[in-house]
Amino acid sequence: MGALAASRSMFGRAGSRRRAGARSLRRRRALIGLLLVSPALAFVAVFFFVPLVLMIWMSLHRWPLLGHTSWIGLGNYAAMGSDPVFWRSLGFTVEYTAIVTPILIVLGFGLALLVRRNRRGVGFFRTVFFMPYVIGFAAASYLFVWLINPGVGLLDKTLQALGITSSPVQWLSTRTLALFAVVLMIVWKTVGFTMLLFMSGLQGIPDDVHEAASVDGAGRWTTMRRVTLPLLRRTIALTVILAVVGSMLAFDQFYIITNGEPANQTLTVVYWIYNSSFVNFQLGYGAAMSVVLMVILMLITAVQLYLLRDQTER
Amino acid sequence: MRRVLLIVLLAGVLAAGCGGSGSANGGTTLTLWARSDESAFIAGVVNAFNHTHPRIQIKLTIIPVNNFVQKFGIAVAGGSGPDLASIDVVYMPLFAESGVLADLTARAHRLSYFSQFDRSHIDNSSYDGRLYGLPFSGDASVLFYNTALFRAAGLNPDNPPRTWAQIVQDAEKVTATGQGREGFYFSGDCGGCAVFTFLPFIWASGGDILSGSATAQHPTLTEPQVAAALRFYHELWAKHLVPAASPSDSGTTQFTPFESGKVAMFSTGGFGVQTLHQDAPHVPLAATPLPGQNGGTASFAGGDAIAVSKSSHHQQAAWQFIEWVTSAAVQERYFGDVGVIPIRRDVAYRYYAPKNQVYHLLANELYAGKAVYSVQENALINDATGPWVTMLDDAVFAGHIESAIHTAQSAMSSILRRG
Amino acid sequence: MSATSATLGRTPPRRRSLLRQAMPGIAWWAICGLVALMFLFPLAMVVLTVLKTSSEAAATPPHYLPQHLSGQNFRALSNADIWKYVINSAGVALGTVVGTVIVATLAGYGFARYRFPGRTLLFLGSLMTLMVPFQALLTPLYSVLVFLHLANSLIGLTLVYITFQLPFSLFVMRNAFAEIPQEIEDAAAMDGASTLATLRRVMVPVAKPAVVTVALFAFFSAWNEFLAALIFLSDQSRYTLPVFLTTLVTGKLGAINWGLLEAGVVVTIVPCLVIFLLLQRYYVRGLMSGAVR
Repeated sequence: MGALAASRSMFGRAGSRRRAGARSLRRRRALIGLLLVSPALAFVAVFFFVPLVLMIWMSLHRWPLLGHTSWIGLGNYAAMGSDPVFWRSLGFTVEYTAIVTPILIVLGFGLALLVRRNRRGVGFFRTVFFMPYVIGFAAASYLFVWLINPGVGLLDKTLQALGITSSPVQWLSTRTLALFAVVLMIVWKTVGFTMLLFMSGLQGIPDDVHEAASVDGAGRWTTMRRVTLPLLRRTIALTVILAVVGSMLAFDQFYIITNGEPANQTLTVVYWIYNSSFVNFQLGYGAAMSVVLMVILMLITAVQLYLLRDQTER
Repeated sequence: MRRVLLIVLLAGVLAAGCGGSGSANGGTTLTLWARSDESAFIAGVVNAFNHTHPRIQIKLTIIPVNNFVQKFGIAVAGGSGPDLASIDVVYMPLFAESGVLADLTARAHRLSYFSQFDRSHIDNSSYDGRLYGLPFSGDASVLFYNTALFRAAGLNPDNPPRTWAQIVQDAEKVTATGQGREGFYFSGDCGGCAVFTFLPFIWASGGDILSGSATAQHPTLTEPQVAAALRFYHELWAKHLVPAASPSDSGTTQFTPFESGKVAMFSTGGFGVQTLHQDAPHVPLAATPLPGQNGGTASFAGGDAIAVSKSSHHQQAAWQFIEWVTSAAVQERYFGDVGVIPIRRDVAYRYYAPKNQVYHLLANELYAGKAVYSVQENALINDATGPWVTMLDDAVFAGHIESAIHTAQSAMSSILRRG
Repeated sequence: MSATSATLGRTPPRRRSLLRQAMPGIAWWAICGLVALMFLFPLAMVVLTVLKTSSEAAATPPHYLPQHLSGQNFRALSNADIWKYVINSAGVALGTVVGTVIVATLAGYGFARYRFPGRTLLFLGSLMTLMVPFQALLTPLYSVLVFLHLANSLIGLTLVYITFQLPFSLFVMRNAFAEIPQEIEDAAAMDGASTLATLRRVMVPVAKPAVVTVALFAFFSAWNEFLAALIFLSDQSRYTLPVFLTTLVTGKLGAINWGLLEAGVVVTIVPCLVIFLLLQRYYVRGLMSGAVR
């Protein structure tokens, strides 16, 4: 009854009901509010909370893609212990993250320093550096699949023309080279975003801080180390978290560029979850690994929240 | 005007209602999925059927072989699977167990030629005593050898190796003749190839890799025959009797070394004969059964089964296709004549085997062979990240035989336990 | 081009910048130019390559410039039914945009302006989606879609995209509405406008930049998403562009038609670049408000 009234006022004329008592008005407004947010809540409930609960439920079952499910308790979690592929993929993902994150931070910071000031032409360069970020991972990966191909790609031709290499490099032949090729693509594609974060961080530092430092006779390097970097702590923490979370979830670039090769040494955790669930059809096991991945990422997010809180209190 | 429109609309609705989905010109259109390995002959089969059956048309979709299980499984789970599928027999237990395939038991037993079917196909297409697919195409693994290289090394091509020691010996002799010749080849990074061509070595020596019923299976890699077979392959590799390309060959270039005419021995199946004849007609070919360690023989009886998806609305039409495709005339003309081993004993021995020595051997091996039966075959064996491939890599190329077996045994148990 | 700087706020002019001291104009131009060259190299090369003939695009070693300009790769792409996949992608992307904008605007308004029991809890609950990446939820999500008969369906995919676009969009919209002075809204209510009319005629026009930001982000993520589309769509005729690219690689016997594949890449990339260049102001601002959340 109340809901009906609320919906009537939502679609009808609210003005005609102005005489209603303050309490019923508040109730009506509460109902309108709930109605307004209900579509969003419905989406989140059906496509987020249900899968979230289902994931935990599935992880406790033998849950083939087709056919009957059966309860196996913590069996899937126990199986993870004796699954060498899971540990290898987790190790590789962590290693990839540990390589990509510092590169993105250092290069992103460098680019931000380069284009932080407003001057002629700076808008063009900012746009160019940032542009690859809007390309999808899949398309960018296929672009690099071609670019790094030792036969038809132009990377090797250019490297040779510049005298950096003497013959085409078989980029996907070893684990290190394949990883390097993926890192190259990721840096090209995402460093513009890191640059942007640092630009906004740098602009958050009041100018008089620098001026005070230079009045005190501090050199450029000292100012940078003692003044700028400490003030950028929040930005750096944020950048690290975003890079870490993004890299821990890497899939597209490895699925497309390396295909897990050579000898499945470039398999990431999400790739292995995908394989377990949708190639081997062990959905229960895939769900169990997803739970573990989720816990890892929530810990990272918790660290993020802790770091940001620390900053605001300071 | 409005009435005409109404009548047209009504007629349209009626026509749609009567015809049902997938119907055109009063006929039925069936979708058939097959793996890319079959592209050499499957189009011929489908065209022939479409020509002779104007009221039932088959629409063929070729799926890349490495994606077949995944594509088919996800499509069926999502309710968009094909009416008919030609499924590698090693995957039949998985799909039979999952309840997505139509039960063909009663219909199959009414076929007058049911007893002629290859046993291995029937076994792998059964689950819990019910039959979910019929044999479609046959294949069996044997050891091919280049008779010219045998002669050049002073070996008698009529006396091929019958034990592992003889294989190593003959390989050494061929390699010793120099000129880049090598004794033996196998794809080192291909689980599907290895189960087809390497596992029979273990079988022929009395060992196996899995045991137990379909629902309570466990790996048996610790049996001594497995270690012996791995040592045998490692010896071939360590003595440089195998081309250096082997460790990274995921099956895509498996024929290249033997086709070059520089490799003396190579194990493959019936489909390989066609490829070799086409690509390398100059390589003089002979074949012998895959031997055990000290004698005995074994073969992997593979190929495809044809199955109907349970949710298909055209069960009768699909069965008509199966009946047609397993008939003697079709198995002879569209399978046997193009080099695929017919899956009926009567057809295979009447028309296919007499053609030459190699075909005769292939037919013998198919009807004497067996296959791997596991609902987790893909995760255990074919998956490039799986324990089977990893074990071969560590044991054969790196020589860590004991630890490779130990790791694979535990990884396979883990796969069979989890889900 | 200077839109980026405008969004990020102009830095007050200074007499002597530290960096400018260290880096005279020429050096700055040289370094930036060189880096820009590296950033543009892949894009320029791929565009030049798809204008080659297909045999030239597959030549080893390759040339930088096409010897003959040719539309061959795009004709081949057209024969591969590229339009079907462009339409699929555009449909999913536009569906995600419309769905996200409507749902996030309603909810953002509700959370910003209405008090109801559990408001804070529900808002935080919706934001929780940010903490659990959808990659971790794919397996159960697929089962939910199968249950709803939405697997292998572009509609199902769109609904999933909307859901995972919501937390960011809700956050942006709620903040945008919260910043609007209450008086504006009251004036509208005084005139007798209903809730939805107030929202549509008064609130949304004022919060237009936020709406554009939300729409842009929804578009980019839906257009570019790969993993969920790869898993949820099993029928090739329903593939979106990124997944369609995978089918271009599986040529006969592993031989890739490079010109064709890269033409597909260009078709996938160009809409993103064009839209970004036109609306980068909104995009960059949204990125900042999302990242600094």
